[in-house]
Amino acid sequence: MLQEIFLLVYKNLREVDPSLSFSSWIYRITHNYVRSHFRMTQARPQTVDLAPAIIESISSDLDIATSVDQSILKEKIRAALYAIDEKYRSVLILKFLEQKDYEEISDILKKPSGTIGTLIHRAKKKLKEELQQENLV
Amino acid sequence: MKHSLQNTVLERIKQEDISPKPKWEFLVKEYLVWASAGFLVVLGGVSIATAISIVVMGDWDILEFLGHTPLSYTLVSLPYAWIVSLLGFMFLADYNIRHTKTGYKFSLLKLMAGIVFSSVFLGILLCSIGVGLAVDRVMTQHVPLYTQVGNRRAINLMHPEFGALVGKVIDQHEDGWTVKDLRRTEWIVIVDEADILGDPSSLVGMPVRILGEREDTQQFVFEAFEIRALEHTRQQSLKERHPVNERVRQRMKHRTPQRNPVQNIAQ
Repeated sequence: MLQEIFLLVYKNLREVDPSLSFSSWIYRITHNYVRSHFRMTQARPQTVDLAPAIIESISSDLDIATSVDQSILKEKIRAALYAIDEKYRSVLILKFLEQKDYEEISDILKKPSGTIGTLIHRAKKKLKEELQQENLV
Repeated sequence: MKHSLQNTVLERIKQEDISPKPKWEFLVKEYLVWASAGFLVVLGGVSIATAISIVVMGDWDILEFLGHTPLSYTLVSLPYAWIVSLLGFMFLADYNIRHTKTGYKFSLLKLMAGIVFSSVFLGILLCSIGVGLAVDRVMTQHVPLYTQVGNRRAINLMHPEFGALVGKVIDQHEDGWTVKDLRRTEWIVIVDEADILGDPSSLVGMPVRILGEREDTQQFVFEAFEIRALEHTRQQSLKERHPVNERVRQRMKHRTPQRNPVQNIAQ
């Protein structure tokens, strides 16, 4: 898949918009390719690895109980992340895993930055609801 | 692994002779999307211009004789087909702009406000130079069912029992005019005491609005008080349109008493 993405980037190299950062552009191509690939194959994407720093970032943002064991917490957050809608998962991954700001997420997902703010707010709420079912919040 | 991926990608580029798409391809695509969005805004403007023309062209000066209040007449005469078309063009313009390189940056509200403002501005401009009337005329002449879904003026006006008749002038002779109505019925119209707006000979073959009185409910004979072209020619713009004059109005009021159209519908 990575090969295909690199080839796609190469083919579309002259499409690069100088007003966007190059990384946002590559993210966008990758995001679209991966999404359409998994749609076509009807498969679920592989789960992402949640580093401790990310777990901490999500935990503090959502007021998750810190007393829970890190490995259990990691598993629960991962499960909750994959239980919510794909559009919410994408913004949360870009925000917490990729540490992108609103403008960059807006450029990657091709949505107005105001919409990104709303999406992140709703995504956090959805994630929190999932985690509440596990008594983590 | 990193090295291997790099080599594989480079090898594939060589083997499959892959090269970056030329810049002009992206530019043409971008310009086409913008151009189609612009075209849709223009179509929205044309819809507005035509809708305004249809509303202004309405028979507001004789509502009392047609048994309508301004509100009820507005409801029956609004050009719904044009309003639906306008909404469709706006939606498609929004969709196209969203698919340009920078379109995603605009919020729905801002983008729609921009499209609505542009369409309305263009619509008023096109209406003022007569485009709305011209489009309505062409559609009336060439599009089947247009008089039922696009511009219902003739249908709303066609009430001979209440003093209004619509039809095309087929012939003008000493005994009167022959007028064919929407149902292809031929009427003899007596014009002896009628106010005829414009040159009578120019009305042959034209759809006309006739105010007057039906002579006999069993016969298709109609005494005209006023005759005017139903359509507006370029020479007679919307601004120059005159309401029915006081003399005709008085004659309409003193016709043989008829049932109110609203009562008629209720019965």
